[in-house]
Amino acid sequence: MTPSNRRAPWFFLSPYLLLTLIFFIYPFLNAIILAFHQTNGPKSRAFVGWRNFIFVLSDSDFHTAFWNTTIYALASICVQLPLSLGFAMLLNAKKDNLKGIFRLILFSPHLVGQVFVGIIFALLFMPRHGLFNRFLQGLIFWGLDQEWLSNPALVMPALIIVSMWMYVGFNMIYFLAALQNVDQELTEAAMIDGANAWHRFWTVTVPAIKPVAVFVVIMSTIGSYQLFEMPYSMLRGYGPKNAGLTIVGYLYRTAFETGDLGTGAAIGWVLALIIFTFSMAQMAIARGTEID
Amino acid sequence: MAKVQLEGVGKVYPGDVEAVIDFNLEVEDGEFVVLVGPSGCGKSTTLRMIAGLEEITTGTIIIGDREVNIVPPKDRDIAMVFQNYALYPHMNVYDNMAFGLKLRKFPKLEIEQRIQETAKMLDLQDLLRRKPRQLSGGQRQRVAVGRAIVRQPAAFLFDEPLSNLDAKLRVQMRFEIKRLHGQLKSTMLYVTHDQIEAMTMGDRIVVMNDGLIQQVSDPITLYDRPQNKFVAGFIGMPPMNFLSGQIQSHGNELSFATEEGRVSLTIPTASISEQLSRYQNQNLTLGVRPEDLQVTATDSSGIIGQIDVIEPTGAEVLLYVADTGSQETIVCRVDSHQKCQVGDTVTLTVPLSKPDQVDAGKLRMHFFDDQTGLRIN
Amino acid sequence: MVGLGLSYLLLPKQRQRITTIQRYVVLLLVAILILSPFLWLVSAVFKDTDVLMQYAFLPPLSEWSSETLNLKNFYNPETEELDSLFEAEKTIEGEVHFWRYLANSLFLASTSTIVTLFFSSLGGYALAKYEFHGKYAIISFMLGTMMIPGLLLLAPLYNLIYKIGWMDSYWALLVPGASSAFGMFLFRQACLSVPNSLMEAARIDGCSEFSIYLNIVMPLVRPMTGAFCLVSFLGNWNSFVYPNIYIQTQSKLTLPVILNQFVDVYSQQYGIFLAGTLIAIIPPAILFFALQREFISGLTSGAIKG
Repeated sequence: MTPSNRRAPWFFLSPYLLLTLIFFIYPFLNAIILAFHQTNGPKSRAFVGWRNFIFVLSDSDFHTAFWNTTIYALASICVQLPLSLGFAMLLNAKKDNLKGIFRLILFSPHLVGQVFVGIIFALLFMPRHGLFNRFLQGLIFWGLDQEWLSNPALVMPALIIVSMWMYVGFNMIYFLAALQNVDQELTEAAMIDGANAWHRFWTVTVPAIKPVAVFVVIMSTIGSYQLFEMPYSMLRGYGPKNAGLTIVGYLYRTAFETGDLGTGAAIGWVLALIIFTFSMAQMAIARGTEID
Repeated sequence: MAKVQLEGVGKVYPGDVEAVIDFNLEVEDGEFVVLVGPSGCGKSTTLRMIAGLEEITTGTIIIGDREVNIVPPKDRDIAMVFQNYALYPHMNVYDNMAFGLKLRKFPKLEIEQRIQETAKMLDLQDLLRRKPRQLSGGQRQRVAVGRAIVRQPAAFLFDEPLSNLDAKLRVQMRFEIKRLHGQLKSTMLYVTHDQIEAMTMGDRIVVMNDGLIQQVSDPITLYDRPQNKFVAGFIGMPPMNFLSGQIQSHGNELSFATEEGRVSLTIPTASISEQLSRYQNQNLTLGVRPEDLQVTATDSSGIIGQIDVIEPTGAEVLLYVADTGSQETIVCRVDSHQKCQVGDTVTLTVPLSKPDQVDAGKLRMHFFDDQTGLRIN
Repeated sequence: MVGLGLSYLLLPKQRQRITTIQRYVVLLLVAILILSPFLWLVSAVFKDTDVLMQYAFLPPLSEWSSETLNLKNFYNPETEELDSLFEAEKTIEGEVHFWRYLANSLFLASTSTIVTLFFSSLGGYALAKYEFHGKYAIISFMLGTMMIPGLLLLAPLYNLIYKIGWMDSYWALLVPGASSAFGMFLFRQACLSVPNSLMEAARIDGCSEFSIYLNIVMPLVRPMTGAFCLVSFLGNWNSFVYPNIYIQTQSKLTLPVILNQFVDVYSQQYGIFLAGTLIAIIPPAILFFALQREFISGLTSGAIKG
């Protein structure tokens, strides 16, 4: 390292450091202060102690939002990710000229913004004429008149279906990349050792893709808990009886529709805490089940 | 073309790791100097300090008439060839060679001319439009050398340029670089860990160990009069044999004997010096090169041992003899027609040449002080 | 567990009873399911509003006519106002054409992508290829900020933008995200694989540190550049929350915001806002097809390596 090399990295990092200071650290500190104030728009504020947090945690709308989001996150992890893995395994053949095109097709929904997805699926879920109900009718002779988006009991299933459409292919790409990195020699060695397919899957494939699986599970959890735009656009708000209210939706409504930025900041902290707790728990579980 | 001088150059890495200590060297204009030593000895660090890629902690580096201690690499007028070639993968051969010249705002015509000239010299004409990944290892290294040549620098720095090549190519490139030096007559500093490369290429060789210069001299002196035990052991393949013992005088003859008196070797007159006679009855180390040993009948005095392994190399045979007493292995290089078998008990002696023979002055025995490791002259 | 069972059934190489044909049948069905909303969308925008809901996709060939299939959703010369996408909206600020929103979105997404690409790659390069005091502190901090959901800062950031006076200004959309920690992380990963000797050779050849970045390192991390451009463009193009809370002037709105409004404005005339949605999907799709090779490798490299 010569003198000019020592100044250079700081120079290169200065945009990041400056922007982070102003648009991350400052708002971050402000989020702490703001959460303890009652506000009315950006202009006026008064200190209220823990009252914002107490309000949020005891608000039944928050409870609704929390459970809605949690169900959605659970569905993402327990249904959608295994499906992604399954499709990845289907695609993971040695020689396959069509692999690229299938990968492209499965990934394509990810290009569509959540607002646009909401607009399209609001119509797909229409009773009688919607494509989804027609499809169900054709497949199992049921469901033509289901009002997916106005029946509170069906809103969450609808959101989960849409989320599968959006993310199955996206997560599959990670699994596929991990599967392609599985050491072929290991599989062959296991085969010579006489392990059957089920055995090989557990002893070779699972440990090999585990780091990526942990990564994908955590990313999905974080993503799921930040769900907002798709239901907001599809349900033109928060759905019947708040059936489509998510935590971020609750934050958005409180901060920008009601103008209560203080409570909004408090919700932000609760959300951050939830995401932090779940990611840490998942990492701990991942470490606890270490196979070797 | 220029002199390169290093005066008291030292390099201390964070954590007080001394990589190079008090390095003094004057490389003459047009000289080919090789820095050699085991890995971690500081030879690459020294070269990188000359290039300006590492800051020097103490001392002065002068290229030409200019002190360059704080001059950035690009203004030092040097060119460097790296071990892994360091060709820009996204540029073709031509652009790789032109890059430095373009940055220095050379006119297009001159760039073209220099590259064509260099390409001809290195036989790269047909490869100019290729990308580095389309070249073989040897071709890549030639391009790397070419990139240095087009710059027409004051000095060339080579950092283990042949280490990534296979044995055959290495020998060929060694030859090509040496020939190139003959054509260009420019100052070249060359770092290697391979002592054969050092011996064959250098006008002068700098042997380094633990950050310190061990010896600076031409290849023959280095081989014939190694200044210390390290150099003696490092230069030469297979390495020099070492035995601990004492000097004893028998009338007007001096002989070397190990402690238990098993081994007794008469010292040829050429190897006897005034300094050596003062070491009588003191512990010291004897060094004998494998080719300076001969196999004789079992009844004479010498090193008695059993042949452990025989390695024919073609022109000659290497015998690994286990000393009967200490079980230490002594290597001996003999003519390939010498008849011997594994398990034979043999006696190794150092031939005493008669004063009228051509190699009468050859030092067949080297003595080193046990405390300092320095040569006893 | 359900998924693992399913995965077990789908194991290709291990279980011989799944043949290539069976594999393709499953994949084909999945592909059709995934693509059907797109097919529906494309057919919907060309259908007349009267028959839009009558057919699942396109009407049968025998029904094809200008009554059923036309471009009225895009442009309708017969009626006066609010009847097609390309008709100018009359707002209090005067007429605003749909093209305006498209142009806004294109401008914002591409400017933002280029600026973020520059700052993130420069920062990632510095963190990968230089040794300096505080480097590891910055890296840890950077990874820490990635764990914090951006929406936590929504309220205080709104406050800050208000104080700076950037409400209703594109600065509010371009500046705060101009250097992304995620992007720096990706580029650091990519730059780590560039050999030091290449940079040293460039230094000797006469490059400044910045020109090493520009001429040597950037061409070598091109796959990551492609991947990052796409991710960044998608994020900005589809961004809804920030433009929705910062921008008030009608003529400055972006596609997600305006289409969300169109759903209410055009209410029953689905074809019109679906036409807008289709147009809004096209630019990311073009970019994706152009960059897909880089994208897949760049996207997964972070996860696989570390």
